[in-house]
Parts: sequence; C-alpha cells; structure tokens
Amino acid sequence: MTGCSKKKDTLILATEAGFAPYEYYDNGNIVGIDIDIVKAIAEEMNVDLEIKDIAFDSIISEIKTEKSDIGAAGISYTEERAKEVDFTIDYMESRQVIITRVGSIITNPNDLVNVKAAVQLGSVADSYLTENYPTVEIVREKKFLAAIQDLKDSKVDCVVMDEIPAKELISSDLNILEEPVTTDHYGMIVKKGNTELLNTANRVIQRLKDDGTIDEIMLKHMGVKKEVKTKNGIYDKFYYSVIYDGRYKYIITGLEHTLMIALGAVVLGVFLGGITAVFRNIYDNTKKLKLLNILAKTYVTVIRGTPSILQLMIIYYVIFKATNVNTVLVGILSFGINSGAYVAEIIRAGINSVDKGQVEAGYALGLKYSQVMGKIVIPEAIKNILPALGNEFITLVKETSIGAYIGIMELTKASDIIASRTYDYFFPLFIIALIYLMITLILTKLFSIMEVKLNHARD
Amino acid sequence: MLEIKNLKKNFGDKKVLKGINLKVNEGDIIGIIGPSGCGKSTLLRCINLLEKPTEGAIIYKGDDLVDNKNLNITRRKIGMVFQQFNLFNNMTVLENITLAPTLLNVMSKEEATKEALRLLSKIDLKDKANFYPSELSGGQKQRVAIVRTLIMKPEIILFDEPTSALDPEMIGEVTNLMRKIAENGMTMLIVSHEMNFIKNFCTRVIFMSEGHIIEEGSSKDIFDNPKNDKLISFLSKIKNI
Repeated sequence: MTGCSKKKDTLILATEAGFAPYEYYDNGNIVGIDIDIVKAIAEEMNVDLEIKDIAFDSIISEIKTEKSDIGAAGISYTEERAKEVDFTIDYMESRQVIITRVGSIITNPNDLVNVKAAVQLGSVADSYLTENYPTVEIVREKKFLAAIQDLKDSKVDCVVMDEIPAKELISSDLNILEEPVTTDHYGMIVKKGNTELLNTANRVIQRLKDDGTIDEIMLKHMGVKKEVKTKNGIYDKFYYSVIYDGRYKYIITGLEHTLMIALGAVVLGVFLGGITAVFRNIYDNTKKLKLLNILAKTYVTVIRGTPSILQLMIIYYVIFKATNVNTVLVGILSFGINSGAYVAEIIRAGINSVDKGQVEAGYALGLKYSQVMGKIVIPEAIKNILPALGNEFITLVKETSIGAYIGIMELTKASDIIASRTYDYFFPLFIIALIYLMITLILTKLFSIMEVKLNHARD
Repeated sequence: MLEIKNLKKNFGDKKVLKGINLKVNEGDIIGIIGPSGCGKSTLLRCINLLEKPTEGAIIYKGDDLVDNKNLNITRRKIGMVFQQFNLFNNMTVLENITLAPTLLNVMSKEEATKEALRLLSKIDLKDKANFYPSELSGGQKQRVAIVRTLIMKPEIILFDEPTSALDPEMIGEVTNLMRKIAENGMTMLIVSHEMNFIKNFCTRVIFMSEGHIIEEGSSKDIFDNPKNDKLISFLSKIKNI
C-alpha cells in the first residue's frame, strides 16, 4: 500500500493554472513558480512531468484518489489539509493581504468588522476569515479574479488573497494594504504515506531555497505580465483576449472539445436511450423482459433525478478512481449516460404519439410485434423524435460547460484561462457566449431544414 | 367456421361482455346492433384478439384463438375494417396495401403491386396509388382500407362501424363496395348504426344490450317483428331521429 500505482516514468502534477505567478498559461503552456519547482523535482527523479489543470478545490481529492502524484497550486499549510494529505516543507512564505478600493474605510485587518469580503473558495483566506473573523460576510468565488471583479463592482468591501498574485492584478483604483491578515507557508501535497516522493520533493525544495534558485524563479515570473493593464477599448480587449500570445488556440481547442463531447455524448445517448426505450416498449406491449424493464426504469429515474454535475464528478472521482483516464472520454461517457435517460423518454414519447389505430391495423393484418414496430411505428415516430433529439443535442452543447470541473479544456475553461491572463473576465466570457450562441443557432437552423425535408417526403 | 363460446370481457371492474355465444357460418352477413356501450365493438375486437378476452373461447376452424401462438397467422384470414380507417400515414396508398402481403411473404413485391393496382382500379382509385392518406377523402380512405384487407384474401371480414366517421355523401361509396364483396360470398360481421343498410344487407342481425345478446334473427324478424322490449324501444328511438 505504499502509494503510487502509476507508471514510474511520469510525475503527474495537479494544479489550477489561473494563479499567476505561481501557475498560469503562457503561449499555450502552463508555467509558473510552482511549475518550475516541480520540474526540478521531476528532473531529480528522472521522470517526465505531466501537468493537469483542474479546479483548486478538487486538487486534494485528485491526490487522494491517486489521479495525480503531487499537488502544487499555492497551497497553504493548514492542519485540516494536513489530515488529508502530506505536505512538503514550505517553499514560499505567503502573506494574505487585504485589497480595497481606493478610499476605503478599511485600512488594516482590525477594520474587518461587519464588512463583506470576497475570497477564492477553499483558499487559505477563506478558511482563515471563516475561523477568525466571525462578523465578516464572506463571498466565496471559484476564481480569485471573480473576487476582484466583485470588489471593482462594489459588491464587496474587500478581497483577501495571496500578496504575490495580488500585486499582479490590481489596477489603479485598487489598494493593497500593508499589514497582512495572516502569513502562512506554501507547500506541495502528496498522498499520505508516499514518503519516497515526499522525501525527494523536500530535498529538491531545500536545495533550491539554499542556492537562491527559488528567488530567481520568482523574479522571472513576476516579470511576465502587464501587457494587460494598458488595454482599453474594444479593439484592445479583443486583441488581448483572442489574438495576443495565440490565445485563440485556447478557444479553438475548447471548441473542439466542446463539440467532441457533445457529439460523442449524443451518439452514446441515442444508443443508450434507444435500447432503454426498446426494453420498456417491449415490456409494455408483451410483458416480456421484466427485469430489463425495471433496470431501464431505474436508470431513467436516477439519472433524471440527480444533477449532471454530480454524475460527472461521481464518474470521474469514484468510478475512475485511481486511473489516469482521458477527461474528454469521461465527459463523453458522463454526458452520454445523462443524455441517454432523456433520449429514452423522448423516444418513448415519440412512439406513444403514434396513433394506436395504425398499430391495431398492423396486428389485424397478421403482422408480428417486431414488424409493426419496425415498419409502422418507428418510421412514423422518427418524425416526432428527431426535432426533440435536435433540442437535446443543443442542450448538451451548453451542458458540456460543466466539464471544466474535472479539468476538461472546453470552451468555458478556455475563457477562464484567457481571463486569468488578461485579468478581464467580461470579454472572454462574452466571446465564449457568442460562440455558444452561434453553435446553437447553426444547429437550430440545420435541424429545421432537416425537419422540413422529413415532412416534405410525406406531402 | 367461427364459434364464440361464453365470451366475457372486463375492463378493470367494468364488465363489458357478460357471456356471448355466437356461431358464424360461411357466407353469413351478420349485423350487430345495439345502444352505445352495449359491447358490440368490443365483441368484434375480441374476435381477432385486439382485446384479450377475460374468459371464453374463440374457435376459428377448430382452433381456439385465445392464447394461440399462431395468432398472427390466423389473423391474416380475419380481416378488419376500422371506423377511423387506420391507414399507415407515412406510406402511400400502394404501400399501405402491399405492406402486409410482401412482409409476410404471401406474395412477391411485383405480385402484390400488380394485385393492389388491380383492386384499386376496381374501386376507381388507381390514379391515387402514389398519394398519401392525408390527400384522400374519408370515403376514399375507407375503400383503400378495405382493399388493404382484401389483398390478404381473408375468409371473414370484421367491419367496426365502417361508415360512422364519414360525411353522409360518402357513405354510399363504402356500402356499395361492401355489397360487391358480399356478392362474392364473403363472410362478414358488421357493427353499424346505419340501420337501413343493416336491414337490407345482412342475412342475420344480432341485438346486444349491456353485454348480452338479447335477440337474434333474420333482419326481417328483428326490424319488422321485434319481440324483446329493449329492442322495441331501441328501434323506436332510432325511428324518431
């Protein structure tokens, strides 16, 4: 039971690449302080490094389920976390500072009384404020960029976060207060009991600290930035969100994955939904296949009765526990299983909509159940089913956006990545929304052309 | 050729047929009349097992059709014509007629097409062969439905209110076709509200009420010399309309 079930020639790092300068996207690659340190660890171990970009609050479960070997994402040491995973020695001291709008009444941590503060969900600031500042109303955002946006929009009075990335993203209308709320220490995390990796990581971190490499790395990454703060006007925003640094590549990859998952899921969904509907119809008409009917009914009930994001997470973290599986495939599988339940009902409704008289006429002529279904009911039902299937596909395209939760690089994730570099949330989101809208408009048009053709064949 | 023995049918708690006994001989043209809800349509639908009888036997040429594994083979010989025509909407007239004989390997595709066109020309609808049902009038639809049954060369045809859904001016074309079929010796069971047609056309008439056969006889007996009070009152109501 000593840890790692994975092949020894790759070190898998789990991070969330939206936390410059610790980890962020640069020209399509994930780079940063943490990444450089983990690279040094991988070199020391003489293995390849694979980086997985997932949600910050999923990193600990990634490590616990052995999907990744090491987690590095500006993770502060807390006793709570140390119960779940093992921490390396700290490689960076981190000051949790308060960011306010210029002219705020908050001037030091003692002013954090009956105010509203935004933090990143699951971050040190989150747990520290929760424990030590009971009168502060905490707004927990998934991204610290969203927290900053809340501050700019006057939705909150301040943001509490790590000082180094804070320095990167404040603009002239924001202040960083001198006195930190707390100072703590960033470490990397490994699965409990993986002492081999822990020792190697500690050795490397100590060496980098001693010879001054960590300071160099930090300076290097603090220097990247800043194209952004000059941007103004739509053209600049467009340029920095899409063109600069090849950022359209994120959007193209995102689009590819979104369409791949939606298409794969709809194919799987139609297959699963089809056989489910067949089982149920056979049972309804002939009282055969009782067990399969119960199974099919349960499948439809369970899937339709639970949120698809939970299904996605259960499939990824429970069913594919301890396997390094392609997340796009997990997406196709999860959304396909989800869609199948809805498709089953669409097909059932389509079949039930066929006038019963035609079925009886078929039987009266001496046809068997299978002939009545195959020659009369299904061709007639398809006319009713296809438009609904089109809608299901359109729903799926949009639904795939929750794939970002398990680190699928789809459209929504692409906008996150771009926003994490431009420090501007709205424009990338706006572009992505436009792309979703375009996809659905094109699909709607395509399906309506198909529908007209189908009906035409009968007129 | 057909014998119905002690046929009972319940829908849930509702007893629709309460023990029907009936013998049908070859060449019989039997009219079934009675007030709405008396079970006459259910009786017809039980004969070819579109409704499964709760109790009793349907003996066709020596075989009981209830729980019969070869039901679909026997059904080819028992044609049925429905009130709502029940043509297959997504098929042309020709496809409607040729579907069953080709699918059941009774005829080749060519034979079936040839036979369908021959039958269609007999009812003056050959030019509608490639039309869809939605393009036909009610009378035309019902005549196509009858032809669809005829192509299977049935030995008996069940007519379930064949003219009830038709506009009055179209009833004649359907009843005329039925007369022509009868002239060739077809055995028929007809549920209908067209009393004049039943009276003039049927060799035997059955009056049903509340799930029982109340009176049975030649059409002359039933219409000109009714005995049971329920039948007398039923006929008088119809005359008043």
